[in-house]
Amino acid sequence: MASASVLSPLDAATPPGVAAAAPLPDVLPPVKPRKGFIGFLRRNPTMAFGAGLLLLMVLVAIFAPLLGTVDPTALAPAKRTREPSALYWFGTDMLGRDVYSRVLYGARVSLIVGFSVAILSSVVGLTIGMVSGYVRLLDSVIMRVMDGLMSIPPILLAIALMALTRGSVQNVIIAITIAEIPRVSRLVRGVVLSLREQPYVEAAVAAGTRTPAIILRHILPNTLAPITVQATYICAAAMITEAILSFIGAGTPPIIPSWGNIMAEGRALWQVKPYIVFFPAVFLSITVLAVNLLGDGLRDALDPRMAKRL
Amino acid sequence: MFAYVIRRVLQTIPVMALVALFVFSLLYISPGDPAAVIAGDQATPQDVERIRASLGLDRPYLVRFGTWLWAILHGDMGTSIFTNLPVTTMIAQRIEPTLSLMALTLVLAILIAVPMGVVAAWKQGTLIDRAVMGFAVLGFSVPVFVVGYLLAYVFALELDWLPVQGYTSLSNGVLPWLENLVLPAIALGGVYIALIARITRATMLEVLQQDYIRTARAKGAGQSSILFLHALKNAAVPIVTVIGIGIALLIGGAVVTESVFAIPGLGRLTVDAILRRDYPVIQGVVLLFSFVYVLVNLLIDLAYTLFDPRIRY
Amino acid sequence: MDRRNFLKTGVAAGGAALLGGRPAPALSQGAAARTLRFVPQANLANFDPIWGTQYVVRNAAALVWDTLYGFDEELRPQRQMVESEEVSSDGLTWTFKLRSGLKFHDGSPVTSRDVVASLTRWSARDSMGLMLKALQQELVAVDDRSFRWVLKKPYPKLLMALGKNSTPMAFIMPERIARTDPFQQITEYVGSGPMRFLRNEWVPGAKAVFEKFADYQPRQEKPSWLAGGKVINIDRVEWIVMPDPATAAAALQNGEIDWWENPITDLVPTLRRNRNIRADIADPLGNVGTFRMNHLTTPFNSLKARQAVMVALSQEDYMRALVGDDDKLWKPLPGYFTPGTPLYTEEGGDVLKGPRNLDLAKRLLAESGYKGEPVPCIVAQDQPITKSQGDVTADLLKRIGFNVDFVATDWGTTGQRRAMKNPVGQGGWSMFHSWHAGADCINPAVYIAIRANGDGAWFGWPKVPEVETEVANWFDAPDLETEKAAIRRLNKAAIENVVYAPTGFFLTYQAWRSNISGIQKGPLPIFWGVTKS
Repeated sequence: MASASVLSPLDAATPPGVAAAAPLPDVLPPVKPRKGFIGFLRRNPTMAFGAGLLLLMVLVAIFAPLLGTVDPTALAPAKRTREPSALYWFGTDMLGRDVYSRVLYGARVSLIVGFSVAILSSVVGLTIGMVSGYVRLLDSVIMRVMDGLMSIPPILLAIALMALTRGSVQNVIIAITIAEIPRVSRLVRGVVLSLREQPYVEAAVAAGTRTPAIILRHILPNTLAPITVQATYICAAAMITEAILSFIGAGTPPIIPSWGNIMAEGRALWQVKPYIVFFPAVFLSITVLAVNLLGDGLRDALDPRMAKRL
Repeated sequence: MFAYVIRRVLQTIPVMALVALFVFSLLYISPGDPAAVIAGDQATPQDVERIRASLGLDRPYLVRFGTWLWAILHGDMGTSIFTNLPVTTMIAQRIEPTLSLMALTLVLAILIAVPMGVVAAWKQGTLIDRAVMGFAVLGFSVPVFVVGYLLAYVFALELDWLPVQGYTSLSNGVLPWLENLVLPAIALGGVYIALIARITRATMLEVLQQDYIRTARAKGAGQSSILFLHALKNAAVPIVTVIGIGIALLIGGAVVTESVFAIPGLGRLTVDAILRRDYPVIQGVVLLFSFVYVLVNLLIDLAYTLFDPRIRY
Repeated sequence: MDRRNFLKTGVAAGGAALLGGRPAPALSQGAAARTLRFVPQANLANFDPIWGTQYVVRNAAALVWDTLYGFDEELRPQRQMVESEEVSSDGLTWTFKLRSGLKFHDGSPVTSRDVVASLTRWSARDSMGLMLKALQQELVAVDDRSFRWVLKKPYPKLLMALGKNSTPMAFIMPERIARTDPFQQITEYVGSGPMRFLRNEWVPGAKAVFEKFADYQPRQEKPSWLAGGKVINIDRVEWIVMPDPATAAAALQNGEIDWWENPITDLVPTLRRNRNIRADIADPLGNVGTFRMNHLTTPFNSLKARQAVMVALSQEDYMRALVGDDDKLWKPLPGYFTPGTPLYTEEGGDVLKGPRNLDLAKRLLAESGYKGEPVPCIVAQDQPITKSQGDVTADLLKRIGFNVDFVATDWGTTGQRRAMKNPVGQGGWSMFHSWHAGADCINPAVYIAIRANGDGAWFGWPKVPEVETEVANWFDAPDLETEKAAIRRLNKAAIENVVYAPTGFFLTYQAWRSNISGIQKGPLPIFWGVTKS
């Protein structure tokens, strides 16, 4: 049983690494002596690459209106399914909408979903995990509920939740967040439980430090590292899940140009007009890749024990 | 040992009960009135009320949950709103393709991913290692339907080696069965392979630094026997755990893969049911998938003793 | 290396024993040739052609159940199960005699009691049936093969009602099945049609299988739509539901399916380049696209708001979004009736012609008293026809100044939601998209969507007394000229009051493998007369 519980915080939809990060506190991540930001990045090329790529995507999303785009929802049925050209860089879709503009604006939806889910599930998961790790009385109840939720495959859970509500970006975020919370909670709880047995925490307790202070000073800072890594993986997984939800018609409303929606609409013409699917697919894959690389890099940087080997 | 098995089995009961409660509540809080849906367009309010009563929808929440749970325990998952067929019948019709797809994917993924991870660990830091790790990150980054369309385009349309879609029952022979499933299994397996390869590599790296491996090397044991007999055996527990947890990925991916390859399985049933808000079917399928997931992970927990004799309960 | 050999080679290399070595008993050449694999337009989710009125249910039902009369390609009702009919000189008493030797799939003979029960159930759900029911004195079986229908008032379109192909069709079922409450689904699928439904092979959402009914006795006449001899030349028809058109296209190219009912127009050129595939217009009578407004709720309870849509909507935009760049596939439709049929008219249709007037639309909307309330647009995403119309509408309404509340949903949910008469904000809706087969828009008898009798009308419940007056005039018209005059006035009144907004007339394709022959053009896929070599 022991080995199973060590690994179970691992999110099925996220790469392992984190699994090993969970029991990490035997070697507490020391705050690295930073010789400037550049030096930090140079020591962590994977992370630098991932972060750079992601930053680029964020800039594209923010400045989409300035990058030669037109209204991504403007129809022009007379100019439908045009091949990519100087006029339509990524071509037009079956309603004559400009794919380039749609893809650029689509970055906003994917990034908002990814970041929101990552932040929300971390905050909620952190709270639940803290409570569970600290309040013995609630622990077993909370963890049983989390076990139950975790037994429902995350994509299935998100789809089922979407069936309850109308498609909107907000509901997509909530549905994916709910599906991700149990894993974060378990991760945090695991960290809290092992931290509580650390000698210096026990010493602090013995010295009469009050619980909120212990949480604030000792527990929280040490939980942040694994949870940050976990959050990046959740962000990546959420962007893929958003695309999948749109693909099966249970995601963001189709009039919003998200990458999933653009692909879902273009899929019927996949054989004859591959570019409609190709461009959003490439953007999505690159963005998710960037976040995953950032996560890998963060993990290596924050967990030197792993970094030695990976 | 025996006591442990019993205890572990008993532990799954509250988990499944919670899943059931959650799945039931989905229907309870869902907007829209199943009775109105069943009654159809031209029903009078009295008709709807009659159907509500006959479905027991007018009774309190807990009573309804109890009745529903009792029926489930007796193998009755209710009736689909849209097809008027028992949910158990619909699931039975579609379970073979999905189980086939998942089983084949599982086998393929393990056969591909474990050696990949082992070799990457062995050749740590080389080009091979980087390629494997690169593939692993990529596997997480490309959505399964994109991979599916690419495979179908290349191997079915352009090369015409394999069929584009459909499912042939195993009872019609292994070859036709395999022909239809190879492409979907590869598409579905991508993420799973990435996951298993990564954990295999990470665990192997850890194991390879252990003293007994060094001893084995010093004794002059062959490289491959060290890797696959000694090291892999000791790395098995985390790998198998991840394989079990990864079943959730397979289930989520099957929903999409079955749509792309027109496989008449449970995944497509789920999508159809969700798009039509056919709640009894949604409940049935989610419950079943969760049950499979819990069961697989239970079996894996129980199997640890086989892989790692050090674990004693 | 061809496909069959691909895996075999692999197996040989890997050792056949590994895979069990069991030879694959693939369908023999002959059996494959006698099975027709067909991809229908939609999933066959339920199978009661009286209860459910979707086209896909009707199309499947036409294989399993037979009708007393059937439309031929000239839209004339021809005898099908009926051998002869007699009508009294006052037009009130109809006596029908069934053909001899008709059998249901369970082996029992078709009797007039079955017919009476079937017509009773049908007339509770069909719009023409309801009219007949109101006029009915009695409907009784005279003996095993003949039955009598006595009316209080003549109903000259009686045979049209029995033979029409608009839903629900007057299918004949065994009495025990036909006794089912018309508002409940039947659970047994036994008919006397040319094919049997293999219920045990039915996987809703994936597959439906029909088998040739050996005891079916086709008529001697040449087959034409639902009339004439329904001779089945194949043993089995498999309906394979494909959720994804891209997959269906690939499957047709690879020869994994034989016939695809509704290929997406954009894929047709690619399909045609394949010399093993034929693609042609499915139904020369085409389809009418509809922008259906709710006359009971905001904003379209106001005539001015409805007119705002009429002056601004561009049928060209809708049609191009729907059928693509091929101009042969669509026509503007400044009216409601099917182009090319006798009652077609453009009377009063000027508002739909010429340049579109967005400014006028905005003015009309302001005058309507619209204050920016949300406008729920119910758009089914799983039907290409409704989906692309909906995208155009979202854009159009936004430009006119409506506060669009885009409700993306599926066709089944649209069916439920549109039945709600609640105000907006309490589940009510403002508009949805649909389409009607051209064959269902040829005259007011079969054209449920043109009726404007308030609560009795189709979803949206328009109430326009002038339209209803002309419908009555048409029913009573003694000759074609009088009929045409009534329809011209009807068309004008319907446009002026905007019963609904037509989005255009369009044709769709069907595609099949070249080894299939005998496929007819018609309002529904017709399997009799089709052969596979």
